[in-house]
Amino acid sequence: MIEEHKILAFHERELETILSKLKLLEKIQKGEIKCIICGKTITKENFGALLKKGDNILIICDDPSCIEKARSE
Amino acid sequence: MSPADIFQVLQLIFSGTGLFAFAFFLVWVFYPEKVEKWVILFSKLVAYFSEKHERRYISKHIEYNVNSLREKLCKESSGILPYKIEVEWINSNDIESYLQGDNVLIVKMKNHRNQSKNLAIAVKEYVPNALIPTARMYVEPSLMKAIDYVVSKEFLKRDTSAFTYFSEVVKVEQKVKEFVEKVDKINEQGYLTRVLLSEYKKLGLLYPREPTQETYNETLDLESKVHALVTKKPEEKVSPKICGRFIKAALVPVAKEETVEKGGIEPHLTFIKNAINEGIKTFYVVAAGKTNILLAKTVVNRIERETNLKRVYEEEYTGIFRENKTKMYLGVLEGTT
Repeated sequence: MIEEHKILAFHERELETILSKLKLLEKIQKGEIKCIICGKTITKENFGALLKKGDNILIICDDPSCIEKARSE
Repeated sequence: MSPADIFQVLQLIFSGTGLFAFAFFLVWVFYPEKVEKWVILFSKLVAYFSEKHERRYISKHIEYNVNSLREKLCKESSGILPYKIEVEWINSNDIESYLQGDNVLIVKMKNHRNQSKNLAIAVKEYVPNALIPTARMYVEPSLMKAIDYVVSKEFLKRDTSAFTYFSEVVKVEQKVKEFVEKVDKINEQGYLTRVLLSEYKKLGLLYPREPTQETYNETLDLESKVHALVTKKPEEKVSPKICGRFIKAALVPVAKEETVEKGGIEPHLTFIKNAINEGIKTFYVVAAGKTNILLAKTVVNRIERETNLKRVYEEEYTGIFRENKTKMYLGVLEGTT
């Protein structure tokens, strides 16, 4: 049996609902959240991924390099 | 089952719908990949009308593209990508429970019209987690990043838009870039998976030891020697042999000009026999072009007869040799003790 590497994903259609649940929607609308890797301001359009590290939820932009680095750092 | 029951089943099979279902079943059994493609195509068509099918299309398209190439790469070097990819959809209602764990990454998938971007992101997430997972920490970090980059490009080559997006968006540091150019050259001749990754994956045996400069140096040494081989001029002699503490391998290029010059394949046999005494464990006998392939196969046969080495892998494939598509050969010999 071959093991799997799971990619957890949500559809962009659900972004607003998810951000509201995590109380991040307003902050993103105000431009207060930056990508933890490249520092770019996160918008609903360039939102790439959520990363749970310790007690924090970190946000990463949609640059594939940032997503890769976020996982490895 | 009585004869009457069997007759009824056969009647059902050969009736209109039954025949269609039976034909579909046969295709599914004998050509599962074709059926998978049809399912993806069907999901793509209905993705415009149904959210469920849109998700299905996004995940199946990624899984099909990645897993089919993964299978091919694992044939070239078994176990280099031990994990398949699977996309697991999370609903907004479940997001908080998923975020209970540590180091959990959840990516946003774009609308299916941007599927090339979804594929690029999935590949960028998959390759650094799935390629020689236990051995990668022992490969010099910049070299490993370059290998990830080249393998990721390989996954995206079949989707031009994904490939273009990836090439434009993914930034590579200068040091990694230099390695990418070299690894690209090695990959053109088919030696990235068949030689480099085949050797690097063995370093997984060192796990969970901490990596040292020594392992890094040996991985760099192998890369540099394989690169020297693939870029050598016809008359140039290279000796791609590495007898380190962790990597003990040699490449044996069999070329007509060399063998004719020196009167046959004897120099290759002598080289291998001497290298066995030096402690080399794995030999990659390589050749390009029909005549050289015949000579290389003779070398492999003779070595198998005259030493304790056994042929563990053999393949003829097409690679880029001196800027031209050429028939290539690789035979791998390993010690039995």
